[in-house]
Amino acid sequence: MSARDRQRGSALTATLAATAVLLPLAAFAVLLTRLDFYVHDNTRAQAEVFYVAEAGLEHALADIPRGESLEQLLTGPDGYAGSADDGVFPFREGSPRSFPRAPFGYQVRVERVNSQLLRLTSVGSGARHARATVEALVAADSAPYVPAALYAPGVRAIAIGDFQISGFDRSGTDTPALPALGVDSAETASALRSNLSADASSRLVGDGGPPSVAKVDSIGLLGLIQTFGADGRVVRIDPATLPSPVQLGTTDQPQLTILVGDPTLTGSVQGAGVLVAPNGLVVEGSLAFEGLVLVGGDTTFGASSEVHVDGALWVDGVDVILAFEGRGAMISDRAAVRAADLFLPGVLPHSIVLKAWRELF
Amino acid sequence: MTRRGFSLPEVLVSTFFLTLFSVMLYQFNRAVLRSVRLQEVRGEAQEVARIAIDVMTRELRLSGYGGAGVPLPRLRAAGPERVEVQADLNGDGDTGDANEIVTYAYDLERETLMRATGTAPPQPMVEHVPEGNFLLRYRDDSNVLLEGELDEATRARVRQIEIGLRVVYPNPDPAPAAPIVVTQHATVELRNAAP
Repeated sequence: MSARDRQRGSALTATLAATAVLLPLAAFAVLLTRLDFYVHDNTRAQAEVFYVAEAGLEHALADIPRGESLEQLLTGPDGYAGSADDGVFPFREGSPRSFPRAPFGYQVRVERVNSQLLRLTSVGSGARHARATVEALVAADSAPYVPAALYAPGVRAIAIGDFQISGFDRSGTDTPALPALGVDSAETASALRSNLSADASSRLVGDGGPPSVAKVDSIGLLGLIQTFGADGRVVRIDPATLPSPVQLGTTDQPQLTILVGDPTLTGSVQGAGVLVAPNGLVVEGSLAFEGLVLVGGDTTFGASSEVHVDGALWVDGVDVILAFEGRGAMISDRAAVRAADLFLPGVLPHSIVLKAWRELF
Repeated sequence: MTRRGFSLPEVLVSTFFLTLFSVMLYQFNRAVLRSVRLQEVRGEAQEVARIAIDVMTRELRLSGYGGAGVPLPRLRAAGPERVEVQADLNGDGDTGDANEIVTYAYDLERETLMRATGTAPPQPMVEHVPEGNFLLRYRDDSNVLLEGELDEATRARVRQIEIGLRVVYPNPDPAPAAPIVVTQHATVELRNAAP
């Protein structure tokens, strides 16, 4: 009998016994760990897509141009109602393919709840088919959108004498300041700022100034002038036939006035409400107005003029020239513009504001 | 003569080692089973606390939602151990429908965090919460801590709610052992503005 044959060891039995005991334990440990990983991964995925959906909604809310109408939001990226993309949120630079990186992304849609309310729904998606949905109800702000104390999107040049333009609201310090001068592009704003003299710069006070000149969201001024012109309450006045002094509305009884013919005011004019000068405006006398002054073209306040506008002055046209050579001030007053809006409801643009937010689950 | 069987010393030694091995195996298994049970209870405690915080966070966050576009007061009651939120989820202009008013309150007697919806009686949400282990703190826009039971005007200022929840489960080990403690914190930014 060899030495090998004489061996009576039990290594195999002992190993099998130990394996039988340890294997279920190891399997249990693996199972627990795996379960923990799944729970952790799913929790993380859910949190991630929630924040992605939130990012989509915030992107959409921040991307709505001030003064945009509810109807315009519903027309989709192509801007035409009745097309296939209606209901897709019209991001200005298109909807990002992924955010912040693949596989995460969001899709935002818009639908009407009722005549005054839209619903924005943002669906965030991510890893492992995780999805989260948040929605916001938006409506037109009760106050009209006022981009700047003086809004002149197509201004080419501005000359300022003893005149001040202020974006600080006249009604109180609680109201955030507006730009003194609002234009349609950052390049125009930059060019105007660099061309202003030190004295002229100091006369443009407001948000970011002096000189307070900024790019702002645009308003369709030509459409506004036409809408005001078609209003049944409009009072048409030829400046050449105006007596002096003349009152064109009061704060208690505002008036919608349109200047026809030669747009030169030589006498003393006071008023409140909305004053529209479709063919430009020249003031050689005095003008004191509370509310909105809307001019379609070059605007000149002569050297002997004295002009005080409390509210907003909006000037339409391409390459317009603003010459404020006389004395006076143009001071932002959102309460005065709001009074004009209440007098002529549904005409002035209103920003879209968030009314309610919720997560769907 | 051929020897058959084992000698007495052999039997004694093998019995000794077999007993020793059995005792070791028993101790090992016992420890493993205790550990498994401990893990189960700890997992349950974590799951309960996490789900509670998750649900609370979501329900607090949508407080003040006005489905008709009209903002509502977000908090109907707010204190260190009780908060009552409301939302008009279906946009019918009231908060009388299911889940539109939700209350979280601590029940000292039962050491339980209770949740109630509408006028229904409160239901246990998280048990094993000893006194002082469910705490709500409120902050305004300026991050100022708003303490005590908040009145209506102060509730309107609340911008952020901090939730602290500690669940203390008894240890399943019959021998004296430290309880299983799970702590969860969350900070909720109220998304809907006060009216």
